[in-house]
Amino acid sequence: MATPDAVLAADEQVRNAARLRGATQALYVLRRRSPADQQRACLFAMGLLARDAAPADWAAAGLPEPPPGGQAADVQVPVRDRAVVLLARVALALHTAGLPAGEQHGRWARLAQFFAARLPPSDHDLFQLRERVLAARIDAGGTSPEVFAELNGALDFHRDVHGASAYLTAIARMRLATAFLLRRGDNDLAASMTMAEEAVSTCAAAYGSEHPVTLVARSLLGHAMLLRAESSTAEAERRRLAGLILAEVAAIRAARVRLYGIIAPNATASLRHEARALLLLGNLERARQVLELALVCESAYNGTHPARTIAETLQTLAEVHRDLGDLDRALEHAREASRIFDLHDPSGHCARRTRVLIEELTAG
Amino acid sequence: MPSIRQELETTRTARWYRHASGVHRAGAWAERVREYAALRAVLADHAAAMPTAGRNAQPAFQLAGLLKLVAERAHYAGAEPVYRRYRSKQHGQPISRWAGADPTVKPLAAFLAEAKIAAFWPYREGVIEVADAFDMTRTEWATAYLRALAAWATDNRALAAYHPGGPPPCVSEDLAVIIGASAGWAAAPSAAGHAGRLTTLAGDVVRSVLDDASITPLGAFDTVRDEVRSMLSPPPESLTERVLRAVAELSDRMIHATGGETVITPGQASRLRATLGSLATLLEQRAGGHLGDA
Repeated sequence: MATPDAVLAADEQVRNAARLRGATQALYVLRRRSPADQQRACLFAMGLLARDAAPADWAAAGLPEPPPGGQAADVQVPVRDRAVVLLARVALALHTAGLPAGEQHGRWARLAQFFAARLPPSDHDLFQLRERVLAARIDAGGTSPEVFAELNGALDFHRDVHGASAYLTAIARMRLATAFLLRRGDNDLAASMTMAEEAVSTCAAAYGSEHPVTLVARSLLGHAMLLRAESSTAEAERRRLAGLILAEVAAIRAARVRLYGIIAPNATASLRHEARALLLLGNLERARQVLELALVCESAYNGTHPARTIAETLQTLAEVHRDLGDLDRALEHAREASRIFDLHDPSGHCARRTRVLIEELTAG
Repeated sequence: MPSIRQELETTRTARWYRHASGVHRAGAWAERVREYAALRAVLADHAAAMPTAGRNAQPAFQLAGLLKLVAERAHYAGAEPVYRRYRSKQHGQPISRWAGADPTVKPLAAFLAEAKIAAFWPYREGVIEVADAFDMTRTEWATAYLRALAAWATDNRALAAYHPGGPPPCVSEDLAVIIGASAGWAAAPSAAGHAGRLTTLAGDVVRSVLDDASITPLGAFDTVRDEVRSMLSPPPESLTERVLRAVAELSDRMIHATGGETVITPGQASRLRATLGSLATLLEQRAGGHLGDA
C-alpha cells in the first residue's frame, strides 16, 4: 500500500488542476469588465500558468509572458491537462479583448496549433478550441467553402454525440447561421433565418425564452430579419418587418439589461438593431436618440478603448445626421468612425463605406 | 468589516477542512484522501460500464455496498476502517467526521458529504484567489462560485449524480457568506431566505450539468443568472437622485481639488461632456413640458 506521503503527493496534482479549473471560471467573470481590466486579468492568468502548470513557451501559443517573480508550485500540472488548456483559453480570451478581428483569429489559431502538438487529435477540448478558431475566423469575415465545411462538420459532430437539442449543438447551429448571414450569397439569408429559427425553438424549449443562449438565437434571428427588411424593395413589407423587429429587439434588450447591466456590449448591440429598425420606419429623430444612448453605453463600457462597435454606431449616427440635415455633426461622426475602422480593418466593407460617406459630405 | 475571502476562510467547513488536512494529521488525512480516490475510481468504473450511446443525461444512481467497494479499491483488508471513520461515534479518531455526531447521518452519507467537499475544495480555492485579487462585487462572486460549481459537476458527474445527488454540502454556508446574510448587507428584507434560495439555484446549476453533458459552466450558470442577479442587485433608488448626487460630488472635487490632484482626465472630461450634451437635449423636452404645465 502507498505511503501517506505518496498518497498526498498524487492528490496534489489533482488538487492543483482543480484549483486552476475554479480560477478559470472566476477569470471568465472578468470578461464582462472593461478592456483594461481584462488585460490585467490576462496577466493574472499567466501568473497562474507560470506557477501551477509545467513550463511551456506560452509566447508560441500567442499569449503574453507571465509576470516575473512568481514561484513555481512543487507539483505542477502537465500542459496537456484540460485545466491548463482551459486556463490558457480564458487567458487568450482576455488578452484579445478589443483586438482587431483579424488579429484575434491569428492568436486563436496559434493557441490551437500549440495544443494540437500536445493533445491527441480526438481530444474534446482541442475540438472545441478549433471551433473557437472557427468563430474568430467568422468574426474576421471568413466565409470560404472551407469554413462552411468545418461548421457543418462541427454541427454534425455535436448532433451525433450530444443530440439535436444539446447545448453545444445549439451553439454550433448558431455559428453556421452567423456565417450564412455574413456571406449573403443566394439563399444565404433564408438559410440563416431557418437555422436561427431552429436555434430559437430548441433553446427556448430547453432553457426558456430569456435564457442568455436563447437571447443570442433570438438576436441572430432579429438581425437576419433586419437584413431582409433592409433589402426589401416593397415599402409595406419593409415597414411590417421593421415593426416586428422593433418589438423583438426591445424585448431582447430589456432582458439583457436585466441579465448583464445597461452598458453590457450585447445590450448595446440590441440598441443598434433598434435604431436600424426605427430608420426603416422613417423615425429618424428617435433613431438618433437611440444611437446617442448606444454611444453613451459604449463609452461607459470601453473607456478610451476604440472598439469597432463604437465605429459602427458612429457610422449609422453620421448617416442619420446627414438625413436630418445636420451635415457638420454627420461629418464629425463619420470622421471618428473612419479613424476607428482604420485601426481595425482599413480595407473592410465598413471602412470603405465610411470613406464614401465622408467624400459625399465634403463634396457639398 | 471582514472581506468575503476572510469570511469564507472561517466557515464551519473551512475550519474543519483546515483542521483535517493540517500537517499534524497528515497520516489520517492521507487515509481519507485514499478513500476519496478509491470512490472516484469505483464511480469511474461504473460510468465506463454504462452504455453511452444516446445518453447525454446522467441520471441519479446508487451502488449496493458502496463503502465495501471503496475499501476493496483502497486495498484495505476489510470495510471496517472505512465505517469506523464515518460513524457518528468518533472515539479516538484523529479527524472528526464533517457530519458531526448526529446519529441519523449514516456512515455512507457522511463519507459522500466529505468526498464531495474534498473534491470541490480546490475549485473553491481557485475562485477565492481570483475574486479576492480583483475585488469582485457580490454578484461577481456568486457568478464565479456557481460557474466553478458547474465545472466541478462537469468533472465529477458521477459523484454529483450519486444518490441523493446535488452540490457539496459546504455550498449553502458559502453562499450565505457571499450574499452577505450574516453582514446584513443584502438588499431584500430576508437575506437568510435569499441564501436558501441561492442554495436551491446551486442545485439547479448542478442539475443542468447532469441533464446535458455538453453544457458549459457558463450555460449552466446562465440557467439561474437572472434570479441570482436580481437577488444581489443593490436596492433600487431614484436614478435622478443618484445622478444629481454624482454631479454634485464631481463638481465639488473639481472646484476644491488640491494641488497636483487629478480629479478627471481630459479624455474623461471630453466623454462626460458629450454624454451630458445628449442628456441635456433629452432634458430640454422634459423641462419644457414641466414649465408649460406649470
